[in-house]
Amino acid sequence: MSKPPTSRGFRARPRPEGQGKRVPPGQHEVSDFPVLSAGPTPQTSLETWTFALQDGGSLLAKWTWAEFEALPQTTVVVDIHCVTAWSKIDTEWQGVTIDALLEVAGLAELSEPYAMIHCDGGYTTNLPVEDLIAGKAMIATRYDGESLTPEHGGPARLLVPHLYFWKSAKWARRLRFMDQDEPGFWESLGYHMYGDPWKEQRYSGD
Amino acid sequence: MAEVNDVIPETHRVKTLLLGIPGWPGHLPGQHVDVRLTGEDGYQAQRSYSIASAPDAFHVSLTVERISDGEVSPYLVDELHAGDRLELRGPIGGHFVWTATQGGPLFLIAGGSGIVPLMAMLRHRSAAGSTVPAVLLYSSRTLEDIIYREELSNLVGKGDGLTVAHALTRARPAGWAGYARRIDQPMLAEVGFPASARPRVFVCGPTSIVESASQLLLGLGHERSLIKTERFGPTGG
Amino acid sequence: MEKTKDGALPLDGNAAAGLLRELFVLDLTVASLTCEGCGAVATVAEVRVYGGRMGAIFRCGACDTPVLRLSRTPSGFSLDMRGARCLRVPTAPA
Repeated sequence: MSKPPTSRGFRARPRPEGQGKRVPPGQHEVSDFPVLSAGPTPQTSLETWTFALQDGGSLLAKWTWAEFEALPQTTVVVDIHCVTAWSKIDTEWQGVTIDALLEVAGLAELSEPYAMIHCDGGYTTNLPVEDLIAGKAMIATRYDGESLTPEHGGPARLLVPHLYFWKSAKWARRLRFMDQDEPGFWESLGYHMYGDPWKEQRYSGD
Repeated sequence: MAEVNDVIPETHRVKTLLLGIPGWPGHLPGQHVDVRLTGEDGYQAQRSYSIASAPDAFHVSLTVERISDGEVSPYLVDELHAGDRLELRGPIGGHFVWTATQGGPLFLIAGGSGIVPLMAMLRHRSAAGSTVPAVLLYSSRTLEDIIYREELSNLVGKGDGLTVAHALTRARPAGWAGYARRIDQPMLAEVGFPASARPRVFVCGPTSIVESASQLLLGLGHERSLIKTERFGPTGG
Repeated sequence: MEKTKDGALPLDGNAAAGLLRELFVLDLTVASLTCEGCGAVATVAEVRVYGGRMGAIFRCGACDTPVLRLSRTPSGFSLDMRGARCLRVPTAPA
């Protein structure tokens, strides 16, 4: 297919100087926080919200909102990268790391190497467990110091900033460990199983 | 590949692009095109825009509202000028379409830039010499935001069975005689055709307005199969 | 779609018409679709579509089941239709 004609004078938003090394290839920095959803925004009440760890059919641990809020909290400042080419630098999040959840649940070692996150509204995404531990991921309940709004994934979302942001699943409710890698929602529609922005792993085959 | 022949300001935020498109197959009122922009670095952005012109107009025209922080509309409204080329494909869409042969009555409801495809329908209606009874209810933020205001007034002045009612939701001039609130059920009942007249209804604008108006119309007894909707991305009105 | 806080509100099948046209010969926006979840029938153009630039996720207006999921990636199209029981596509103009 021939190269499409260039539109005179069109460019993506200019990137500020000095951020070059923090913005992965093919991305540009934005100052707003775009919302992209695969479905309607769920309105889950905190009274009925729970978060669970699951292994096959068995429940390993479950927390109500009050119990979850009482767990050790961590605050991080990270860069996030959406597969649709926008990146946001220095975003602040607070929540409970997956390490803390595993520790409190008494799961020192997991035998399963993969996990699927299940969310209100039916969204799913798959990740290697290795990418969820050692401080790499959390269940986030606050963004920029405020409670996470529903359109951005509240009450709680998975946050895995080193992968493309579709892996940071909104409205997270359950983390299920599995033996084999299985494609989640977008992975089943041609998106990469892993999603490393620094290797531009946007689509399967990349 | 289209060539921009002229760029016409409509409001402080809205411009109409007059395009020459070799090989254009013609279109039906209500259809749209997909516009694609490609930067020097290969970055691409694509958006859909409704065709504003009637099928037999000399130019194919697109009316575009600049969305602050938008990716494509600021380029089309602020940067593009006569002589530039624009990559587009179309016409697209066989559902949200009205031609005079479909008959009426015709009940059009527009929110903000949702007026564009409905204007193509009204321009076609006028060009075809149709006297199908038609009502347009058009919601905008302020008087200055009304697109095609003068042309709509002229169409009404033809006396061929078209009524236009405006609703201003944010601010209105002194002595304003039109509606001064968001579209609601009493307004639809007052200005539109009764459900018993079985009008063909077309609603276009931001998703929130479209869904709200559709529900209200169903509540007034209009048949679902006679209501056609097209949701736009966020805009005013 | 344009990036504002309303970005979470869906568009509809009309907006996905261009993408559908890349894959299907006939205009699918005038087709009717039966939801596998609840049996509701809708015209494709009127179905709410989510997903923005990532893809077109058509969801039943009555029960939110994804009836069609369509994405285009550099290697081709992915179409998941498990949420649709039946698709009726007219050949004559509506």
